[in-house]
Amino acid sequence: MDKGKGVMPSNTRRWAVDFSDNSTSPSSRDVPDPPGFSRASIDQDDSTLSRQKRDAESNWKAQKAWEVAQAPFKNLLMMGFMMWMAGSTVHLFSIGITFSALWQPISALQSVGKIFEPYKDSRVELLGPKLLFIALNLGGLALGVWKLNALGLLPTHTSDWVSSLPPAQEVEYSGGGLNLS
Amino acid sequence: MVMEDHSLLLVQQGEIVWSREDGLASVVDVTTSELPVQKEGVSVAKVEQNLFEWLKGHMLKLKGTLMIASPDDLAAIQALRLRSSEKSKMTRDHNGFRKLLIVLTRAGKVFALHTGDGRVVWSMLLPSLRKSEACENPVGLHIYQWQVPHHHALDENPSVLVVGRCGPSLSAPSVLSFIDAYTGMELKSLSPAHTAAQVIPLPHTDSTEQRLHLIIDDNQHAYLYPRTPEAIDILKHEFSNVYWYSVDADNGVIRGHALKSNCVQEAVDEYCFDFRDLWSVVFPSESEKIIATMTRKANEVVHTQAKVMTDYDVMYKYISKNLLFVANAAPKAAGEIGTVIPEEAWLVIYILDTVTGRILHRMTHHGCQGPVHAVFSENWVVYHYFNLRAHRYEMSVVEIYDQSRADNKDVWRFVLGKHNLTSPISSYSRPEVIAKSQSYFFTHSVKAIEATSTAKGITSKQLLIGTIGDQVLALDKRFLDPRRTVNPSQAEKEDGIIPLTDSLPIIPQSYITHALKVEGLRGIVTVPAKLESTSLVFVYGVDLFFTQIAPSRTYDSLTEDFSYALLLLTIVALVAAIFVTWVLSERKDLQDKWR
Repeated sequence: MDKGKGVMPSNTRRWAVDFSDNSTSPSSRDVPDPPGFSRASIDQDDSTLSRQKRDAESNWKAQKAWEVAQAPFKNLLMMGFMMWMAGSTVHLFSIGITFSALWQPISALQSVGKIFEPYKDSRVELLGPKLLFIALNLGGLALGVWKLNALGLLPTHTSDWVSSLPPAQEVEYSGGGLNLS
Repeated sequence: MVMEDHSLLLVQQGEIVWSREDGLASVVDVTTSELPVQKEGVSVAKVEQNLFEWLKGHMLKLKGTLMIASPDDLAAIQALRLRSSEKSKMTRDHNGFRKLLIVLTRAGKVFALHTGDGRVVWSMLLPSLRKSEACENPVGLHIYQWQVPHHHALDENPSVLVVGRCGPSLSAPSVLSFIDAYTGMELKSLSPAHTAAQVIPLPHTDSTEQRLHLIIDDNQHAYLYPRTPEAIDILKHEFSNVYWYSVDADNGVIRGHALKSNCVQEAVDEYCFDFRDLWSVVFPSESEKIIATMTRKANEVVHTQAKVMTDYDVMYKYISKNLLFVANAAPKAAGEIGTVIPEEAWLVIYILDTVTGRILHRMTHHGCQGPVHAVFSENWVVYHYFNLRAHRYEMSVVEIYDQSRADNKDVWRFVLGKHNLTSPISSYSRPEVIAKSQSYFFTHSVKAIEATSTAKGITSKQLLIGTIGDQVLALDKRFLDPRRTVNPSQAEKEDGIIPLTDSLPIIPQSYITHALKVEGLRGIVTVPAKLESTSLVFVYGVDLFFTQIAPSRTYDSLTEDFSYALLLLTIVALVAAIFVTWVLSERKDLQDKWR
């Protein structure tokens, strides 16, 4: 009882033992160490533990980064389905879907850095996931442009360009007709 | 009493009881002029000059609303309202609806009518066209726009040229008169020694914005007006590009001429030019007699040279101002309808290029005869004639397309701008034209046909048909489309092609004269307004009729009962709502942070 009271004055509970105490001095606890237990080896386990932890962290980050990179694929599929539902006529819904399908990849491409920020680590190779992310978003953009073309809004025909041409000027001028009566 | 200028007066005991300008019943030619620009500092409203009169006007209006006005007061109120309303002001308006119509009557008197309410702004009996010993039987022939100042619109007034003749035959000496369009004063009067067989307004203007005119006499000499050295310079610059064609209806010959040189005469006149014969088209007189000709209007504006068909297919219109439509009838059939049997009647129509004399299109209608009324606009001709076999009137349309430009189908050439579709074209290049035509039955007999014209040529056209019942019918050009088929496909229906029927529908609501009749209808004139959707129409005969029509309804201006108040209220309410919700959301954020 005396021992329990004297050692840790800040501990309010008498019988609580802090298992995660990594201090090297064996006398800091009232419970003696078990025989054959040396505190020095805990330090070595510390570094390996932290190394393992860091490894686990970077693995987790890499995995998460690949998952984030693959997220646009699901978005792509959903957008594709919604565009197919929108039909090939020019209505408010189809225009809205097409423009959101065009805008989402663009905004995602602009914020690539920000999305991959939490997974930034010196040991994680982010270039791969980033490239996959960019590629999938470009695919989404291409899908939006294709839908725009299917709606007939892209100037791919001659008639789109030629309707704005003014009539050509004529070099000669001819007048006359029946005599004034 | 009938006066020299065809006006009527009632004189009782030496006093004029009433007078009436009946010369307006014999309008010969019409031109338009813009009104003066509204200048700042100059008050246009002459009504409010006198304070007392203004007070009196208000008292009258008050009495009118309180319903205690006498009939004289009511008439006075009406007169006040008419005088001060928007549409009868004497300045230009933003939409170009207020213009001056300058008409020349057979009596040689020129009137200027205001398009707002039809009142006579000024009238002028031309002294040069009055009977005198120099001029025995003066007759006014045509009126042309002489000077239309654009750059000096605030300083100079536009003027018009009146060409007249001193006798009934072609060899009578001519009379030229230049009139100021705003005041009606005669600026200058010329009695040149030559006759006036034709007048050709050239597309060139000199530095004072006077339009060059060539007056051709019956000896095939051309005289240039205005007689200034600058005009000669401009003409010399464009010497090889000016052509003249003459239609000799009696002999069935159409000849084309080009400017050659100055006249070879005893007296050297450097404003006189000679012509050289270029081509002639001789119609066989035993089978064809010219009964009608028609050309495009010189100031018509075409918006685009391409016509988009179904399935993004493009055809290029053959838009050339130098085309002439000629209608020839069999010599026996050139008289009244019904004087000839169908086997001996035929109608042959030609479309000629008047610079080279090339016949671009020819079509024969068997069993048909005149009289032929035609209108030529953009790249199409619509003409109306009588079909003896079917005992009905018919209307035909011919549209001309340019095939030589049709191989511009590559999109990349247009994107990169490497096409030559806007470079100037000459009539001497070989045009491959194809013509599409169709005919329909039409129940009315027709006195005049005209097409609507707008400022930029974007609005779809309507044909204004002056019927024998003295009314004007507005027929949409889509009914006269050669692409009409009996069973249009889905794409064609989307394009707006109406299924083909054998006769043109006459929809009673499309009479622009409503329930009125323009007695003795003789001619229809359309003038473009500045607003693209609207065209101004002036119909003259014994009666005069003026209206504004919008062939595709007024798509470029808000309706008159548009509630601006509602719009403003909505905007104010939305701004208030944005502010309130912003404040609320800020407050909620703050509370969340302090939780």
